[in-house]
Amino acid sequence: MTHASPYPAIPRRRFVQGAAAIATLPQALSLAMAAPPPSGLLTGTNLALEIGPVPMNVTGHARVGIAVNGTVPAPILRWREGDNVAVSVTNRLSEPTSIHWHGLRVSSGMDGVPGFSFPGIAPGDTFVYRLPLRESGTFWYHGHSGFQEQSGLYGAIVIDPRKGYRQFFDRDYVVLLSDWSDENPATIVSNLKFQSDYYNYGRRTARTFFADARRQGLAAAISDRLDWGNMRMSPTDILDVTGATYTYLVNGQAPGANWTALFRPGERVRLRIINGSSMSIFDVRTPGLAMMVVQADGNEVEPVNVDEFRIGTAETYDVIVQPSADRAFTIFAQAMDRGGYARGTLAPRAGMVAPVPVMDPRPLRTMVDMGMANMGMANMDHGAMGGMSMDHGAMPGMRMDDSAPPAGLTTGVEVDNVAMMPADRLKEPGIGLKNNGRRVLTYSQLRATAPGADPRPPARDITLHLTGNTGRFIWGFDGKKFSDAEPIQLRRDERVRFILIDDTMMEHPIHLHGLWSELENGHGEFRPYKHTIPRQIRRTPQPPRHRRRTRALGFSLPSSLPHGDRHVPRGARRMSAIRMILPLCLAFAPASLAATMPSSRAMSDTGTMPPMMDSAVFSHALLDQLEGRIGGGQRDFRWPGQAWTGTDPDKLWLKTEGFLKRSGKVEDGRHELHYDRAIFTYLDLQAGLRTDLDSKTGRIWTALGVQGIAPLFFNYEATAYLSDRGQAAASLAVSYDLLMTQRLILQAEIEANFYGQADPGRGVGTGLADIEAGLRFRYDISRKFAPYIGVTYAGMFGETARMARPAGDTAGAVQLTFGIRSWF
Amino acid sequence: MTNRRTQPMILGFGLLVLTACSGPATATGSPSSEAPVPLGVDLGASTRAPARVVLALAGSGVQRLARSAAVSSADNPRLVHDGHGDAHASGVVNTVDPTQHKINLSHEPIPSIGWPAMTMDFPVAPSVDLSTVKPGSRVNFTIGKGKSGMYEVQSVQPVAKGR
Repeated sequence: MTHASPYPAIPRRRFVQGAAAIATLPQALSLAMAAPPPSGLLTGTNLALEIGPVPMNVTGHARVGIAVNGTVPAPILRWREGDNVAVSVTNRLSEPTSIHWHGLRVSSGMDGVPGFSFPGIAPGDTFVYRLPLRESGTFWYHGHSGFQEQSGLYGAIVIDPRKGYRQFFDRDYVVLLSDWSDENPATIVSNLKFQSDYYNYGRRTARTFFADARRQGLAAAISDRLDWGNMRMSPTDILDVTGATYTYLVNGQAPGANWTALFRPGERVRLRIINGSSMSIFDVRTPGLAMMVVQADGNEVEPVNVDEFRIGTAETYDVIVQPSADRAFTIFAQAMDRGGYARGTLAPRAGMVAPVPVMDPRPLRTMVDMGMANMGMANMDHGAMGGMSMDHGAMPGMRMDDSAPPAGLTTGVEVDNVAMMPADRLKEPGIGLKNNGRRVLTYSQLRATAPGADPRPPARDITLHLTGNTGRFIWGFDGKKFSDAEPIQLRRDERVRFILIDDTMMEHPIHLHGLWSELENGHGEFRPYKHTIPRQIRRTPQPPRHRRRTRALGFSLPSSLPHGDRHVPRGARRMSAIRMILPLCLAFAPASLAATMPSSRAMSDTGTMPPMMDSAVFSHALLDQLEGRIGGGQRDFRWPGQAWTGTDPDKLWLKTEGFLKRSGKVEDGRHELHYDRAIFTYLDLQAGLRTDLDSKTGRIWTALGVQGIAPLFFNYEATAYLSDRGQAAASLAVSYDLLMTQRLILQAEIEANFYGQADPGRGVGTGLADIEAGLRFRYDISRKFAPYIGVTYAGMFGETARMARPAGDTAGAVQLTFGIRSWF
Repeated sequence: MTNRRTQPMILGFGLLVLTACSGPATATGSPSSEAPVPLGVDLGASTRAPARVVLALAGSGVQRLARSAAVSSADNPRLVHDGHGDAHASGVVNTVDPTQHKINLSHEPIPSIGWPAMTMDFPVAPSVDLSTVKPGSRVNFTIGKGKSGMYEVQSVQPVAKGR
């Protein structure tokens, strides 16, 4: 493999400098300052890429990222349409790696999805990708293994058209947007599995309630809270991973580093904007400069002049700007939830800055976004929908026939919502962009410059619902995660219309690997080709028609299979592997089945590594009320804890709790070991054993219970027990977290124990035995560590109270409580 | 904010730089200890050759023409007469000049290189036999850049049911 680059290879590491980062300047970089070489640019038909670890410092903390040829982002690959290029990729990591060419229509073996279309690249190995470049435009490439993309394995591809450019421009820059976290990407997923709003610091609180009540009236504010609470959804759920952990980058540079693109006033500057992030959607604008959108996803569109556009994960847009003033302009890309922004500068000279705009207000989702209102209500203030019933069962007659959800879709664990009134929302700019005084690009404005290559009407329609369980952080198509899904079979050269309905709350860009699709957006035969369609909520774009003669690959979510968007690894990806069963037949098969059924399923020949991580095991431990209690002449210490490990549906669950009294006695100590099975969206079934372990006579109980989330976000847990002596017992616990602010949380909790028969050995009588109630004010220093103070009441009732009195135990006491809630 | 305060200085400095004719330079009002601003890689103008060969096109008339046009109408994208490779078109032959190996055509718009419908003289590639081309006939033809860099007609085919 020759390394064909017009510039001498510079063996150096490029550090990503954040605002606070101290510049570390190896000699090469200092030298480079005199005449900056076009670092990170490779051209030629034979390229060598080396994937390896690199020190990164984005926020001031040293981390290790994943680089290609020493740079993050990976080098810009600049090619020419029609060339055949060979890229040899060498893995210098200690784990397997891969590269996926996002948007290039390559054969499945070159598409780069490990365990699916090729085996992956083992440490130390080199894989040669051979890519016939049938297209020109802006594309990108990224790792498709584990969370490597999040760690920096992404770069731009620029393919020059053979016939020259349609538009004139003087300068041409790649603006690659990405998100960086100092946290291990696997930790981010684990955190979301524990708490799906872990990174949401824009949740509704008591404060926002009062603000809403003042603005809309108390009744409207209450009913709106009830509507959302009944759906067990949050209108503030905009992005799962936010600026709370992300720093948003332009070409690998944090906002403070001020990445700059130079121009001379009057020049036309082409900006190739690529969303190479893992989990972020950006709203991009250049204040003071109109942007002429000339290309979307590498395909030419009729120029549209806009002030702003939304770019979903993995999309690309090329715009041309013409700054005529001799001043700097900011390139501003705010995350959709307004939790942070990426920023660069267009400037006549290096070192200049332009004002950075204040971020827009945080958007709130509405019932329209949930697919719960028809277009007539689209402009309705969400507060005005109070009277609308959100009960799914109450509105079956309103389902649209052509998009009726598959039978059984409403009940699975993986599904928390089904759109009742899916609407085509291509004409809307998107949540948080309406009426902001700027011209915002809509999907309906994208018009191809030439009619599509295949005039045949689609032979059939395939409707796919993108479904999810926000709380459990599970995602899939038609209620099935990747590894459970049946393949969708397509014939070669077949033209198919996919109707995509997003039943989840979130925007989920859909990417068809190795394919382009035509977006049916009302432009007749001038439908724009797209490789990634960021279905904004509840939009039913009826988009992709399969392009002919492409050897399709996966039909996948945003950027990648095993990582990229974290909604993906968790399963939201159906089908994938293409396997030639007959010469003209393509089959999509759930690839990860290969791990369990190597002999029979489609992918058995492509390696053993499952491409999806939708069956990953997560382990968590929670000490929710590690506390001391004072009052009523007592000083007690209480330990409570739970730990669980397992996959989304199946977990092993350990619970322990008890009191250590001042006397040294242990009371109410119990340990439970359960098998936990998720049976409904918000309900887990638990079955197992309990042992009493305290200063009283211990029993062994079998237990059967449920735990889950009730409407309005009440957490509940109800368990029935049967002891080794045939006694029956039950316990019931309900708790509710009331957010005073984002971090100050009032938790109300009540727990009661019932016994079927008296058990003098344990000092309990028949009927209601005891009640525990508590009000705890906690402050989330971090999500994982929160001290609290509160009052608790512990009381005994009925027969139990009578039995306790002679023993000198108080029958009921209000105590001052202080403790910590912590989990990991 | 910062920008407004430092702009006069930057402008002044910029003028110095311009007189020195030395292209972009670092102009900052902040201490020199600050990390240098990371600069983007300019991939070049639309007139760049798509091949790996970098041509010096900065002063070409085509580019200057297009640029001035572009400056005057930012909202109206100007198509550039700078295509590469062949473009297919059809038109009507007005005159044929075998001695200079030229042809005058009224052609329809050629979108791939951004040409509107025009009537103009074309040089014709030596490989094309002009004896079969009759004035007044309707033809399909291809044009591309010849060795001189000028567009030339590279093939001509009479349309079967032409006039």
